[in-house]
Amino acid sequence: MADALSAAFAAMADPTRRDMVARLADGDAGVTELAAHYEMSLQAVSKHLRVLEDAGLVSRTREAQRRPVHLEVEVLDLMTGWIERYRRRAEERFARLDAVLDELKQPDAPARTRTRRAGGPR
Amino acid sequence: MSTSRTDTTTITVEPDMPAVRLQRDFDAPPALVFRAWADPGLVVRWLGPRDLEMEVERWDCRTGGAYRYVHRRGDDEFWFHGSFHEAREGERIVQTFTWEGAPDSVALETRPSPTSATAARGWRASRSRRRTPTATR
Repeated sequence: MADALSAAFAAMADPTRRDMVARLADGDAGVTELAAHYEMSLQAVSKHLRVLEDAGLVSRTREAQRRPVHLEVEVLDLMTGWIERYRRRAEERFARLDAVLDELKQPDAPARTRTRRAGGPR
Repeated sequence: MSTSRTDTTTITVEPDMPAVRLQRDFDAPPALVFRAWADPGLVVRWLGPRDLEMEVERWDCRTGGAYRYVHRRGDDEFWFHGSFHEAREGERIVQTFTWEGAPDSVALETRPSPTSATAARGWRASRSRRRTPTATR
C-alpha cells in the first residue's frame, strides 16, 4: 500500500501528468484525443501515460482499436486520504488553539497555563 | 464571539519547492495569537498530537531565542528543538524546526507566511514549512 502511494505521488509530481489526470477526471479519452492538448509527440504522451499506468492511476481498457485511457479514482482517493490525515491532525491542533484563544479573550479569566518543565537529558 | 470555524485548515503543497503551506484563520486579535504561541504554558495546551504528553524544556520566543521540547508516549520520547529567528509581537514568527531523531533535517517555519494577507478580523496565521533536502550518504 505504501509503495502504491509512493508511485502515485511520484507520477503526480509532473505537471503534464497532473493535467492529464485532470482531463481524464471528466471522462475516458483516447491517446490521440489527449495528445491534441499538448505540444509534444504522441510518443511523449504515451510515455507519460505509461508512468501513470504503472502507478495505477490510469488503465487502458482492452477494447479493440481505440483503447481509451481510464482514470482509476480509487488511487486518487488513496492520495487525498493520506493528505487528509495530516490536514485533520493540523486542524485538531488549531481547534485546541481556538479554545486557548477563547479563554484569552475573556478579560476577567486569565488563561490557565501549565508550568511543568521537562528535565530531560542534555 | 461564536463563529463556526471548525475544520477549515487547508494544506497547499508548492510544486516547485519543498514547502507546505498550512492556512487557518483565527477569530482573535493578532496579539492574542502571538501570546498563545509565545507563552510555553499555553503552547503545551494545543501544540502536538493530542495523544502525546508535551513538556517544554526551553521556550524563549524572542528574536534570537530558542526552544526545546519533548513529546512522550509511555517510554517513547520525541525531542524537538529550534531557534526563533524572528519574533515580532503580534506580527510575525520565524523559527527553525528539527526533530532530534533526524538531526540533519531542518525546516524553516514562517507564520504568517509572506504571501498571506492579514485577515480583517483576525490573524490569518498560516505557516510555511520549508524543508532542506537531506544529504544522501
